[in-house]
Amino acid sequence: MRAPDTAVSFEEFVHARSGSLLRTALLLTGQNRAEAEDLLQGALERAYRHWPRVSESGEPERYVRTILANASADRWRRLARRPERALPANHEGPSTHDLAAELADRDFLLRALAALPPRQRAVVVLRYFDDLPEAEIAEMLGCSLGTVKSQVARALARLREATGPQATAAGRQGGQGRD
Amino acid sequence: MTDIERRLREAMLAAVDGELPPADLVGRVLRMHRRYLARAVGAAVVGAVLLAAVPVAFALRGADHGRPQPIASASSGSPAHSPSPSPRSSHPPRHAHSRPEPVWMRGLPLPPATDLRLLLAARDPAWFSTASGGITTIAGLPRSRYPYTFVRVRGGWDARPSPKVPACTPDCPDPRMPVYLIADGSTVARRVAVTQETAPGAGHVLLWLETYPPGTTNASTTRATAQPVSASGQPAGAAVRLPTGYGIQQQVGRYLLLSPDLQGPGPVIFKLWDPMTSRVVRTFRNVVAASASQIAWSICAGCAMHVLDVRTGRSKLIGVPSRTWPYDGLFSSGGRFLAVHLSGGVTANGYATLGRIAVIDLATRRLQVLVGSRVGTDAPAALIFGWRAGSDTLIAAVTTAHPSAQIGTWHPGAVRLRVRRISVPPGMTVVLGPYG
Repeated sequence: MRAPDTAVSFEEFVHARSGSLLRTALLLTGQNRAEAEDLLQGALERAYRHWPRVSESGEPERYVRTILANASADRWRRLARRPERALPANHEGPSTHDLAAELADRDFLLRALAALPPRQRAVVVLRYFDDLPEAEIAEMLGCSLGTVKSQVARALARLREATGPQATAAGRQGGQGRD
Repeated sequence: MTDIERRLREAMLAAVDGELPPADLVGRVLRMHRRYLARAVGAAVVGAVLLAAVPVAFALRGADHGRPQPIASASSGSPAHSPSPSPRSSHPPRHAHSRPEPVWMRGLPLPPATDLRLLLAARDPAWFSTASGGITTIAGLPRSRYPYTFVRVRGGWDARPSPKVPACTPDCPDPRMPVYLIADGSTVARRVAVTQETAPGAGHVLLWLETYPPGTTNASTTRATAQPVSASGQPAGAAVRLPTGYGIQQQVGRYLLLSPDLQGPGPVIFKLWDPMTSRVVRTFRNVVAASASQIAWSICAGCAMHVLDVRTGRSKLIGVPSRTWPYDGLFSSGGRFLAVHLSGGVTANGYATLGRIAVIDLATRRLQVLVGSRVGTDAPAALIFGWRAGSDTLIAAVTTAHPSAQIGTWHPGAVRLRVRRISVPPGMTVVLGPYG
């Protein structure tokens, strides 16, 4: 049986970090709340199995995040529920830059993100949502730095392609677009 | 950072901002861990049984050719071949004998003194008192050859005689008919306009009146004209021409939420359209509910439901029970609560099974399935609901083809419905919800 003090520290970890981890899981699952909760529970359960070792490593969050990222790709493959989907067609960019246009752009980008292959989506989420360096992502996903760089580039290219007219419009308005 | 990277980061941050984990996450993880241990122990036991069974099987092999091998029977029951005990990863059990679906809601009795004034649809619409069972006819509504249809608007209902089957169905629009306004509880209706379709407005606009050019035989290939009017029936702005094949579902903020006139199989694409610029600012799949300021939508069974407040631009994600689908919802008048039908499942051809009612408190994002609200969708009855005027009390009703009906109420904080059977006159039906 697990020692009580270890269990408490696991609870403390969950209370402190589960919000951030859930948000990552939501993005990894294309904002499917039920799947994200499942994914997070699974990752936390695996961490709990090895909690003394995980907590001693000093980086329990990194451990759980690694499980989340790897399990998200494996999970879709295993369940065969989310085959790779075609990216949504370019949407009509509104002519005026207002709140609704911004919302539309966000919505479109998120749908395009959800349509990426799970591995590419995981790389993008870890890189741009969790702000992790590419080298760390490579270590987490068990691949080379070059693979992470190419996955990021491919994912951005697909997102850029999917949001083409929108990107152009936003770039014009923002005056800083390099894409 | 490039523009696409910046926009992507902002979109991701905004999408999950404020998302909180379930309160009992630790408990769920520990339960999952116990199941893992049980499976591990089970696998060890089965392994031991297999090891013991192999020599026995070999010993019996020569004498027992025609019978199933002990190894086979042992392995077919091993955890590796059993469905996972996790409720989310296992399929729902299939019952050999399907149970009859419930026809009525269940709950605590509704106190007899509770008086709900319900609108009854008929050729002579009337108010029904649940306390006395009395009927009060609404003056000002001429007796119609056709049944009246109703659209919920701010502070009351609009009523319009509607031919059930226009001569040129299914493509032509409804004929022009007078529209009447019935204020909540009022026993007098007031004629406000003549039109073909109506939709709820927002702000100073009470209603949108939609008309098609005379002689239109196909609404889906013709542009309708929409005129906003105030509560007095006077124009409340300039008329606009809608995109071809689309009608107004509801005004939301300064935009119009449009739905296609013809809806084929697959997801229904709604458009949020700016009447000032005649441009589509956003599209939605499978809108669940819309009000003067909010839109709720959900794109697949078990997916989180999105609720966008158009005034602030902020959206919320609401977790939905696995393998269920929210549909036909209604925001409370204050906008804090959203009641939805929640399917018990979705058939292969996209129809809901076993409807229930769930109420979402948008302030806390908590979804509560109302205990006792489960009614079969194949039952010869309809489960409808609406919000009591000016309050956060939900009124549900099960209407049937015969005079017997049932009403139920729910207040914030209540766990169960309060229900009562009522008897409505033949030919009359309780009206609740956005339409009737």
